[in-house]
Amino acid sequence: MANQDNGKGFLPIFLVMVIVTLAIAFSVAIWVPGEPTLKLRLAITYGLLILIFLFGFVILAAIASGKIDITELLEEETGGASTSRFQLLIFTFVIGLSFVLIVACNCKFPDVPTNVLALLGISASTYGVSKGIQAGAKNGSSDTKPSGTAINDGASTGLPGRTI
Amino acid sequence: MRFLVTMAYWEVVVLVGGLFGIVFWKLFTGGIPLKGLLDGDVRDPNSADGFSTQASVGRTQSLTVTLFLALWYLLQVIHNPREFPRLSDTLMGALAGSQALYLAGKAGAMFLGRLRNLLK
Repeated sequence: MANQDNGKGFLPIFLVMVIVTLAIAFSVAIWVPGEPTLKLRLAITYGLLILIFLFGFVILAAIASGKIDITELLEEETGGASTSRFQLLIFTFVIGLSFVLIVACNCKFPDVPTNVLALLGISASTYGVSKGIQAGAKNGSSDTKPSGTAINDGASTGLPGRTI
Repeated sequence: MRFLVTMAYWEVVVLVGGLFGIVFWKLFTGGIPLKGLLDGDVRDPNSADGFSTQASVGRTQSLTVTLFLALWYLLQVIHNPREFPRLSDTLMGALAGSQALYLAGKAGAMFLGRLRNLLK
């Protein structure tokens, strides 16, 4: 229900974005001098550029204001932040930022070396395997533990320890 | 056409920079909680749901290696923004080893629990 309400809230914004885009595209097509094909190309390019920017800006504004909730971005099912999600986020941002910097400097699509792909691959695989381990352990736990039955009666011996 | 390129450049800077800025701002202000980042679940028969939460050395070393490598990579790109920096096999091995250690520790803790419980 809440999602439907959010969708309705975005509809007028979406319409405004389309109208602004069309207005800019028409302005470029009418006032920019040149060949008709060049004017058409410029109008479409400027229009798409503005539309993508407006879409991105609305999404960013929604994230910043909390309409798009990212509070559980790093959260595990059991609660608490996940290390594998955090490192995937860090590497994605680092590679993304590097990509933008390199494209801005060279003005062309850069060659992506295999070690960059390997870096992201290791990071994403860690996240995937981590999820698999978690799901497997939880399933194993629910399969082997009968409900309402005491598994270990030596509860008083449970002292805090370390994972590894 | 030059204006178009400049406009596209600033559009990417605003959108990508804005996304990074918002996510990091939320991370630092607690909008995205980092509580329990270094804690891991351990199989614990004494716990009600079969698992308890403990501080994890595996997570700590994984996070340290990740932050070190990410910072190093970013500095390399800022130093020479013409191409992606080459990562040496040593660094890749260190990252892979760190992640493998983290996953092995997690698997051990989740499937086997504490060594003390196994030996009982």
